[in-house]
Amino acid sequence: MTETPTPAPLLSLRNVTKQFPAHGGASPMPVLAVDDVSLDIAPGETLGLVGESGCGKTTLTRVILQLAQATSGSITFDGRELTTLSRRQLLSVRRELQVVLQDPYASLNPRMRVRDILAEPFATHGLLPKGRGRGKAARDAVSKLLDSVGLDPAVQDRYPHEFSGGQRQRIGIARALALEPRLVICDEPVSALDVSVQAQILHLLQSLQTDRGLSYLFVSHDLSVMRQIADRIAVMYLGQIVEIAETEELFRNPRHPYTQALLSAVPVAGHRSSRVVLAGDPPSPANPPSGCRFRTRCPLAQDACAEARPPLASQGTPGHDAACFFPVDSITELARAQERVAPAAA
Amino acid sequence: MTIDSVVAGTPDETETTIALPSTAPRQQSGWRSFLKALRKNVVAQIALGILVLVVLVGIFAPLISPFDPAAQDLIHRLKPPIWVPGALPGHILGTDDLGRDVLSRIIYGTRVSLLVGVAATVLSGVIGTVIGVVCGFYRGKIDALFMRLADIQLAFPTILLALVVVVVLAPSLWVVIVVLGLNGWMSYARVIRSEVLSLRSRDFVTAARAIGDNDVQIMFRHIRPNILAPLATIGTLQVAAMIVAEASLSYLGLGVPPTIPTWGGMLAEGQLYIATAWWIAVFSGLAIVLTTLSINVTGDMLRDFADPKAYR
Repeated sequence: MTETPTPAPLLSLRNVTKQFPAHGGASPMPVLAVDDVSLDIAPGETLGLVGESGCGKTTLTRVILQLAQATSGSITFDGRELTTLSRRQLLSVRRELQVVLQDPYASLNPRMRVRDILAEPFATHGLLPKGRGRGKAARDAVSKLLDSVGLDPAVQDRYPHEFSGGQRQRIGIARALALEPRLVICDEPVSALDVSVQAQILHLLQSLQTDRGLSYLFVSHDLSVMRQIADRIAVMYLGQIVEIAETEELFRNPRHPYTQALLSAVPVAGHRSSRVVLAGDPPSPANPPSGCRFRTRCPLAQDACAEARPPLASQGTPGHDAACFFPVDSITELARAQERVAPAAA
Repeated sequence: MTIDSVVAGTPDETETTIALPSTAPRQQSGWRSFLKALRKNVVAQIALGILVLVVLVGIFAPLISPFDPAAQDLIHRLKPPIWVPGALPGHILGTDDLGRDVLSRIIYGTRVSLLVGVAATVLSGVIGTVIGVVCGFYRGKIDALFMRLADIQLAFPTILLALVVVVVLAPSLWVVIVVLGLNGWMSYARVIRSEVLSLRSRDFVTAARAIGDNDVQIMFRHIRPNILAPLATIGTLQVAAMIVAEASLSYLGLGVPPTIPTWGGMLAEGQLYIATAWWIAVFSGLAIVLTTLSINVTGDMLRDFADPKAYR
């Protein structure tokens, strides 16, 4: 991309950490779900956040949304520090910071009509006129919203269970857009949908972005989806960002062994590439390994990896950082190393 | 039926617009779909019919009862129902040990049963729901406190506690209502609490928080509609249980003062003459059984109806 002076970021995280207190068990240890994460999202940008299940993606979104309190670190939105805002001040920020949730079957109240679901943001923020005109104003606002996500405004008298998954997700998106936010956090918005519907929803999100100049923080574990929608991608492993780069750069030149393993798992039509199959499961965030979090599964790990945590360091191309002491250049090299460490069964 | 109004929005030319499949039933007005649901369920029709009848009888007791329920006629005591030889004309269900008309007493007893059943249920429902919602929503110490309290009260025999209180406070209709009301909150509190516990972590509550709803808004907009179905179910069952509890108290002679005719009181009196004058106990018992059964069946139907998914 061009090197114009970067605009002030819309959302900026600095050293954000979220620790959950220990709970029960024989030797309870606090769970470090998000560990020292720093990110910036520019206005109009889509930042993708990938990582496997349980790596802290969702926790990070909840911390940004102030639905969970960050243990430490700073979160600024449009120059305002969110972590210290009062409830009332936070309410005004919420108009600009919204969320689309993963499961469209759980994210809509089954006992509320679509109209009530979509009118709720207006009601909460006191945007509906009092008295007589209220019902009509709500109806009109909801009609406009439904129209903007490609649904017939006539469906507003129905209940969520009368819709398909894709249609429900459109309603979820409409709810997020009701307050005309500037940043929408999409927490795996298409992972619960059929592939054909996924494309429609992604298309909708993209056209809404162009029309309204939205920024997205797009969380997913699906790299093909990411490639389609994200401008930049951050890769998360066990609560930490291990690599961040512009989308094409990341796909062309992954530096962190974890990213490489992830990318090698993406199927490419008519092209058989070497795959790196990581051994084992990610370690527990309640008891993370010392130094580099990935070293327990990394075929290239050396002694240094156990001693210190590798910092996010520039990998040549501007904007491309990776947290690895020994980044590799090619996937075949990594695959060969993996073969040595754990010979594949197949 | 509103099949003709089923047709969803016309397909739009824009690529992204999705017309709903025309098979999706259009949301009907609540009353209409209620009648539709009722039409399919013969048992519920009968139960609802009996219930309506019982309520009407309670309301219009003075108009329809053939005799004064308190009027004694010692000469014509223990007369059988009219289809049994030796009956006294006019007294359809016979007379009791003091010569009072059994039918009239059952008709007047309806009032007490319904009043106690409904009032005690509402009282315990309000208390139990508030406690359940607060405990489930905030958890922590309040939750622990009220749930242990519920455990204690559940472990304590309700009828014994009620007896003690009624004896201490002297029996009256309102004492009975309050005592039964304070004794019934636990089942609401527990069911509602567990319901709220699962509701508060649901995604739509997360979305509501992201929108900026505060706790009260979440409770009223999102929790409330989702606990109405379990509330209706427990509530109707509870009405029946309260009617039986009131009858038990009256049967033990410690419920409503004996001057007011009640089903439980009649059952107690009738018990003494069960061998010779079965009609006193049988008809009052029948009134209790029919009413509580109808309430339970209706409650089941209401529950199904209150769940928008159950009928589609």
